[in-house]
Amino acid sequence: MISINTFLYSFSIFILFFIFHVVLWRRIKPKKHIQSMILLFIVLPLLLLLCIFTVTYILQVNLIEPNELFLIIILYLAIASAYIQTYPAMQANSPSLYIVHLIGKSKKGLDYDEINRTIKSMKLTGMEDRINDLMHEGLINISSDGSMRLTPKGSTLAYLFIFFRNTLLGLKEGEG
Amino acid sequence: MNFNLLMLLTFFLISPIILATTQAIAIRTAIMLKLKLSNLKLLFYCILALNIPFVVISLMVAGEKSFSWATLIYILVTFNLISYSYFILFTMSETARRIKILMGLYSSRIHNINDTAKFYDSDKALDLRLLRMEQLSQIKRNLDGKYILNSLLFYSISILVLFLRSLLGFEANS
Repeated sequence: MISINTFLYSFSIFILFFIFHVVLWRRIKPKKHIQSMILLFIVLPLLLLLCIFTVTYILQVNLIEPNELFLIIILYLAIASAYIQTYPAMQANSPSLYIVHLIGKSKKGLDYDEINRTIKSMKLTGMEDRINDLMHEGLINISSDGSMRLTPKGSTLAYLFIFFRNTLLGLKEGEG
Repeated sequence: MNFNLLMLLTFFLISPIILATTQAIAIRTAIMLKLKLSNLKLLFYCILALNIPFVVISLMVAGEKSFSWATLIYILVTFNLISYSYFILFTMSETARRIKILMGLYSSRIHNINDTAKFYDSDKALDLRLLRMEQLSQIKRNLDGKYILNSLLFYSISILVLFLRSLLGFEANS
């Protein structure tokens, strides 16, 4: 059922769209990051796979068996999902990862004040850029007087996270 | 699609629900037993522990007549990629500023841009992140009180993330 081709197809499609991703982002960095990522890594690759399968089926070329197609899709979606989930940390320059990176680069270690100075100078824990991200993603609206409101999309996402943490897992809100 | 394949694919698709349920039970058990484990470390242990039953059940569901390394590797890779996605999702709920703002707006604790400074203490954020990394055994303090690396895992991920940032053309400090 599973062969080396399953892995080859899944990873090859990911690499192909990753190349598109790099080229596109270097030329026109989209403002709606997550929607662009979902389009590029989920919608388009699935369409491509279905097209390949349909064409080979019509031409009666035994490139991908129907059973194998589903296995390729599941593995590909797992790879794409992992990358999409990692993307926000890249885009926002995750403070936690940067702190570990700073400490790792230093040969003698860093004390609290040195880390704090660097993080503050880079404004890594600031909120302004994150608020802008939420606005560009269509999750919040900001009025001219600075008042913020959730859009329906933002409200749904907030509710899902609150439900996930509070109701499902029995945890308080994350401390940030 | 044959029945075994359908069962296998269904099993993969419900694996995040299995993970969430396991985590929910683990959290409540840890609270009952008064175990001092960070939420992230607890989830990490849940994922590690679930690998074994998940692989065993998946191999049974796949219904292949003889053992196949390709099947085993497929199951391990796919399950752990799905688990990684779930881990990141949970980490976002713990630490992400964007999620915190959304939740603050939803619960009406934030109304205005000026409220965010009071709602999210940037100084406390550094303390929390350092504590979290210590709890995850990624950093520790030496005898001088300075922070040093305790594991190469997150450091390696940080190098990869910074490389990808530069590859994608993000500014160094944005």
